[in-house]
Amino acid sequence: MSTSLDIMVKHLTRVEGHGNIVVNMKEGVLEKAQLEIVEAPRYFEAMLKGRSFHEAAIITSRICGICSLGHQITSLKATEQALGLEVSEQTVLLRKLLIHGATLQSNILHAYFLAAPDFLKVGSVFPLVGTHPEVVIRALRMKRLANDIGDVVSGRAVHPITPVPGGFTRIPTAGELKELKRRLEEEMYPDLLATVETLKSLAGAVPRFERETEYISLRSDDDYALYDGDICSSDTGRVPDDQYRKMTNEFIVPHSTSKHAKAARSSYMVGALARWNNNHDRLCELSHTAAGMLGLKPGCNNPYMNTIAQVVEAAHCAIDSLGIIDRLLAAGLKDEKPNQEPTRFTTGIGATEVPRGILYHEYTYDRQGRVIAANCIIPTGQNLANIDDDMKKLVPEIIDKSKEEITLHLEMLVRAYDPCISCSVHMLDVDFIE
Amino acid sequence: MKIIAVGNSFYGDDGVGAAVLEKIRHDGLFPGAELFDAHTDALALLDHLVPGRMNVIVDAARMGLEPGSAVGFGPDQVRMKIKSDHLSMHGFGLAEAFELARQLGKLPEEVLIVGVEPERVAINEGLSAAVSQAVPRVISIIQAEVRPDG
Repeated sequence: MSTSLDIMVKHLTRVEGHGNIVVNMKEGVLEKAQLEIVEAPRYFEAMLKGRSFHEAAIITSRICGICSLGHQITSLKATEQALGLEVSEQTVLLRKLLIHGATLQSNILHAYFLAAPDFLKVGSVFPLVGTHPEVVIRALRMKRLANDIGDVVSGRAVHPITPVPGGFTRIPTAGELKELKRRLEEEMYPDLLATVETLKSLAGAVPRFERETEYISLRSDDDYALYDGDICSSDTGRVPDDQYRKMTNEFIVPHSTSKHAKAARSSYMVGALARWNNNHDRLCELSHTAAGMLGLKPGCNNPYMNTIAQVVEAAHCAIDSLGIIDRLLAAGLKDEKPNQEPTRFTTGIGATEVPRGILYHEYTYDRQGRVIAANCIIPTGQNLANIDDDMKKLVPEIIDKSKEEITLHLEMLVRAYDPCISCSVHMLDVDFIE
Repeated sequence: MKIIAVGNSFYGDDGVGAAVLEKIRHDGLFPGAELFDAHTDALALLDHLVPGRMNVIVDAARMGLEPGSAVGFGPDQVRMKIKSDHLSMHGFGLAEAFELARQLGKLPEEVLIVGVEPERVAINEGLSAAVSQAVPRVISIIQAEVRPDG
């Protein structure tokens, strides 16, 4: 049995942004096992100060090319709560549809392009084009349809423009929604079934690893909580979203330019697996069928299963989108104007489940409707301490493997969390580096 | 012809593609050309490259040249020319998108990439003077490369 190990993976591939894996073990004693975040911080919150409530969501949607929609919706919710802007049921349904599209796209992209190459040990998606072209084409077709949900509802998929404080500047037509529904039924549904079959054939390649973990997600009585809900911990239960600081407790560590977070334990996990563990009872039948086929059970403590949870959740996003479209069509689409008349100027919090976990935005406005304070906590930052804790348990368990295998297991672990390091460093407070 | 911008117009010179599209719209250049802004989604290129037509992609790219330098090249030269771009889809940049398009047989015969060397790519900044001045040169490169019937 080897008792010493030295691993340094610089600029881990297939994650968003720059992170290094560092592991040192000396004579059987683990000295270090951590994910270093080395990207320079970008003082994003300071940039919001002094900006009008019309601009906040536009600025936040540009934080990150891949998390644009989540930031925008969360920002709008924080602004609306701070300014007392009520939104219509139609607005909420359209936003839920947007979130389904973004979650579907992100989960599918992660499963096929970032995780599947690990399960197949091929290093990247490119060898799959030669060996399984139909799988890659299917993944791209699913991504495009998910994108098109965003295009139809918001005008643009990557940087949505029609969602504004108080509603939408443009409402999709009934014809556009019916066409989306048709494509979801005729294209997405069979593609989802095929995706589950594909993943089932790879399920044996998901590493077996267990660590009892605190899972935190939103939870709602009405639905599988993505758009809103209470904050729910698998350890301590539910609290309203205005208690988010008590559930995040950000702290600084020397090896990361992004803050870490903790709640009841030294770390917690957010994201698809946390949502599955806390809210599996709210998922649709297709998701449960998929979970059964893929071996995902409630109370799953294997972080590598996050990818499986993403696919199970993607099925729900597609099926629930059909229900939302039906409700919108049944009620009749109304050409509503956004409600942009503030009734107060105070502090508001937005908490949304974005693909990687709960995203929090909090803004305080002055009487001119300008931001005077802003705080944002992003999912990847919340997962960093949990990744470190996983590594500390994992390394001694697999120490008998070759260095290459241990390195691959660690890389796969980090990629399973689907981290967006770019976002995490954008979200630093101004005073952090001083 | 189809002209596609990639990059995040909120990040300084990464917005050069969007600025070029804006100039084309404003001046009414390339009549009949389809304009599309892919923002930061390089994989969207796979859906938007059109066969049988000239496809032009404008992107801020670190090529080791003077800031504001604009260079036209083909997709086979992407890995050689571009040291890094700022597209952020989990490491899927222009090079990866073209590689995937080629392998899937979706790469049109006529593709022109116009790379512009950025001076600064930082959040909440506009274009630098050097890159602003490059916008007309990008348009000249496109004009020189395309057939009159586009």
